[in-house]
Parts: sequence; C-alpha cells; structure tokens
Amino acid sequence: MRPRIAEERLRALQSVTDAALSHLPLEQMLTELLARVTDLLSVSTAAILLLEDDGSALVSRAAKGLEEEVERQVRIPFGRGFAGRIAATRRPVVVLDVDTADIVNPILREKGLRSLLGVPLMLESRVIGVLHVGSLSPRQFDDDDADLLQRAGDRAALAIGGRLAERERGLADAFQRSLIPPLPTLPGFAVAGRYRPAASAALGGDWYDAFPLPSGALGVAIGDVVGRGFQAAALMGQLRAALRAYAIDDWSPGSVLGRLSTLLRQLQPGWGATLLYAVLEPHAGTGTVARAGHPPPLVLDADGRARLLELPVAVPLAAVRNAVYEEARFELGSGSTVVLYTDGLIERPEEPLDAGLERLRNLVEDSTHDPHRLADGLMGTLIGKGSATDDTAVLVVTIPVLPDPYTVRLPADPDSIPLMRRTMERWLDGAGASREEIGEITLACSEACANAVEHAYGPDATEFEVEASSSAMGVTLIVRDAGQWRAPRGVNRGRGLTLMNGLMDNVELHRSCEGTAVHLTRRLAAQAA
Amino acid sequence: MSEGVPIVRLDGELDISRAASLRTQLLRAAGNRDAGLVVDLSDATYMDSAGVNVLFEVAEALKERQLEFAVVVPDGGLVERVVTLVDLSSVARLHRSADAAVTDIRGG
Repeated sequence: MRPRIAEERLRALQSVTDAALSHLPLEQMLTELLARVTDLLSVSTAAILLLEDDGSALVSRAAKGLEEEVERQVRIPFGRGFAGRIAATRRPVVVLDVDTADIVNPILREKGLRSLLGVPLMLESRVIGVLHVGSLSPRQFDDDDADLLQRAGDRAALAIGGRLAERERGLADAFQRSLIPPLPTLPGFAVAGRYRPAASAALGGDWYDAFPLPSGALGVAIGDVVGRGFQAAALMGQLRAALRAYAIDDWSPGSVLGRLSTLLRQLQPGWGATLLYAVLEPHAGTGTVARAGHPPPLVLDADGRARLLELPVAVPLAAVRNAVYEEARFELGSGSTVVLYTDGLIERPEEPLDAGLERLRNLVEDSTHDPHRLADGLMGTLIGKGSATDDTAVLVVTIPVLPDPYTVRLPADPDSIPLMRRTMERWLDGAGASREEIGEITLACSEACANAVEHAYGPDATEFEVEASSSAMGVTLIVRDAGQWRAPRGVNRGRGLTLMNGLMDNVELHRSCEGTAVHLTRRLAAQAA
Repeated sequence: MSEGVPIVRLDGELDISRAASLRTQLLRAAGNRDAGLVVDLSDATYMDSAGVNVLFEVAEALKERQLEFAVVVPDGGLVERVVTLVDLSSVARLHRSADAAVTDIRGG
C-alpha cells in the first residue's frame, strides 16, 4: 500500500469507533459504524451479523445497502456459507465471484453483489460475529483491504462487546429475577430456595419452583435446562409454567413429566432438560416423586439421619418419544426435611458422581432443619465463595412439627380450605386423634372455614384463622373471621351446620362487632380411655 | 329393550375443591332414555357439605326428568356418617353395592 493512502485510511479508521458513537443505542451505533466502513473501503454494502448465545447461528443485526437482511432476520448456521465459514475459521474470507461461491444468504445474490470480503469479530479470543462488505462490480479484495477491515472489525467488536455485555447484564438480571419465583408462605411447610449462577454466564438453565396444589399438598420441582443464555432461560420459563399447568390439573408426578417431555419435543426440538417433580403430602406421611434424568432428592428425617431416595432410572425430558416416568413413594413425617438440588452442587471434575452424593448426604446428616440455614450451609460449603463453573440451585422444604396451641391464618378464599384441612389433619394426628376422629373433626372444621370464607367481604375481612388447642377436655378448634355471621340461606345451605353439630361434641357461635368465631370441641377416644 | 342405568364411580375426596366439576360430571351422566343414575361412593374417603349439596342438586335435576337416583354408600366410615347426618335417603335410594342399586332402579 502506498504510504499516503495508508495514512489516510488509518485516520479514517479512527472515525469508525470515535467517542460520538459510544452514546448511541446498539443498533444505531452499528448502522453508523457500517456507514463509515463502506466509505472507508469504497464498497456498496456492509453488514454485521452477531453469533447467537448458543453459538449455533449468526443473525443479522445491522446492514447498509442490505437492509432486508435485518428485516428478514437472516440466520446463517455456524460453519456454513460465507459468514458461517468466517466465524468457524476465524479468518478473513474473500469471495471473488458470488455466483460460483458457497453462499447461504439469498439476499447477497438478489442484491446483485459480485465480490465479498468478510472478517471475524473477535472479543478476547472469542468469535462474537462477522463483519462483511460487498461490491456490486467485480473487485479483487487484497490483503491490505482485509487487514483494514479486520482492524475496523476489531474496534467494532470492542464497542459491540461492551454494549452487549452491558445490555445483557441488565436484561439477564431482570430475567433471572423473574424466573426465580417468590416461594409460597404456607402453613405446615417451610420453604427456602437458593440459586447461584455460573461465573462464566449470567444466565443458566437451573430452576426450581414450589406451589400449593388444589388438594392441599405442596408441589415442588427442580430442573436443569441443557444450555445457557437467554434461550435456555426462556425455555426454563416455559417449562415452569407448563409444569404448574399440568400439576394444578392434579396429574401425578410421573404423568406430569411424561406430558412435559412430549411438550418439550414439540416446543424446542433438539433441546433437553432434567427435571424432578414431587408432591409432598405430609398429612398422609408421604411424598410421591418422579424424575427425568435428575439426581435424587435427599430426606433428612426427624431423628437426624439423611437418606438419598432410591428412584427408578429415567431419561431426561425429550430424550425419547413417549417416555414413561415411574413414580416412587417415600416416607415424609413431621420434623423431616426434603433437599432438592441440581448437579452443580455435587459434581466435581474427575470424581465419580457417588462421591459427590455421599459428600452431600454427610453434610446434610445431623444438620439443622431450618430450611434457610440448611440451604445457605449447602451453598456455602459445597460451592464456596469463589466462582462456580456450573450454575447451581437448591430447594429445601421442611415439614415442621406443629405446636399446641397452633394458629393458622389463610386468605378468605375457598381454595384455602383444602390446605387448612391438611394442616389440621397433621395437627390432630400429633394431638393423638384416631384416623376416624381426624376425618370427622377436620370435616367439621372445613365447614366452619367454608362459612368464614362466605362471610368474608369488605376490605377488613380478607383472612380467616383457625386456632387449635388440646386439653384434658379434648381438642378445641376456633374458627374466626372478621365478617358478620349470616344465617344459612336456601334449601342447600344449612347442611354445613348440620355436619358440624353431628360430628362435634359441642359447637358454639360467638358473634361480635369484630367478627364471628365458631368454637368446635370434641373429646378424643384416647383421652377418655 | 331395557333402559340404561349409568354408574358413576367417585373415589377419593369429594370436597369443595371438586364440587364444581362433580356437578358437571353428574348432571351429564344420565340421558333421557336412561332409567336412572347410580353414583357409587364405595371408594370415596371424604365428602363435605359442598359434595353433599351436589348430590342433592343432582337428585332434584333427575326428579324433574323423572329419572331414578341411587347412591352406593360404603359400610362404616366418614362418608356413611355424612350421608346419614344430612339424610340423603330423603332424595336417593341408598345401597351397599352397585348391582343392588341397578336392580332396585330397574325393578322400581
């Protein structure tokens, strides 16, 4: 290159990424940058394609003279065609004649381009995209052109990288926050969840969820979508919503996983995910669990022993058509704790998986039943404060022993009644009631709760409560609401009161300006003996 | 040709959370060409007043259509206790087995 022209070009190059550009939004900055590049090299077109998060394809983000590329969201598979080859080889590529070259993007031909030159956009030895220019007349791009375009590309890559990182960090933070759900506060359960992203990527594919089921049981799930980035995170959001939808329809864990597997195959062919879903029914002393390629949960029993649940082996979601996920039942009594986790918690390089599982089991054994402290302890000890190589999620659910007396407060909503009943079943079991007594007393209590829900109106009456206590006289349940007692109306409405009177030894109604309280008392057979 | 007597078996807990779907299920169960409807509660473990009210509503709907209504009630346990307390026998024929209930409807 002649010295004078080289100098001129170099000066022009400074303009490619001058300070004025840094204040523009990303897309505008790219467009402006391309305008300067076309001037610099005296070419007809220029385009920037950026690599997708998962590295599978390049997508047009800005173009000059090739605006259709961006509008049509042209995707070039990594390694294929002109741009794909540049990204894969990380070297400049020159196309002398578009007609005889391997070109994927139809727009290049439609526009009548003859010759092309493209360079990789590199950031810290990572390919983030491709910058290419084109000429409508045949042109022999030489090494100097390639050198100049590469230098322009290097500057552009820095600007883009900084902007992308800034934008994605902000988006990723917001997105991640929206994907880690607020955990429910429910009587009879204490739930804690922790999530630690991997150091290398802000967005991972690990997730968890916990939600009440219509039957009054608690549904808990933990999963790991294979892959990283926004696509993995978006998929995990869809899986979470779908899981809740199937779960709320009362499908058992195995059926839920089977349906999700079919759904995932349709939603995102080629993607996979591990998942574990369990229905916790401490009122029945059991839990039911099914897994899809996920490590087994750990149960810390009331006596301080920790056991890994032995579950049937099952493939990850979407791994095969019509997968069948077997279920396993496990004991889950008052005072026990269930620990769900993703593989980031147990996996170490060059170590058999069993060693990681045993390390976790040992750590949980004899540890606290406080779910928050247990979850913090696990993350702190097994992941440490340093940067993790994989993202990690932990969900801990404790089934606390219910005290006597015990008060439960729930929203004045019919949906609260099954949960209230489950909680009272457990409390009555602890108070020494027989199976028959538990059924009859909780039925009477549910009727009083249904009345309380019906009375609830106005801004002050949004909750009701049940206070349970036992004494030598028997058990007493007091159901309080802030509404005014309303005599049953209609031919079908009086049966709740009939049942309460028939099933309890004594039913008293206390009305005041603060609300209504129904006192239900019954002597237990065990006490009479 | 004898008229049909569909049998609907309800298991588990017939509570307020299931009442709405139970109502729909039972009201659709018998057609006008049937002789009546049998609701079999043999495997039901729990029933609250919302569940009971559905049975009374169904009884009324069937009566309007001049269809018979029988309920199979398990011997002992909470469901029988509830059925007795609310006097379900005032609107339905109560039996211990589905066979007995069907025979009763056909014979009656």
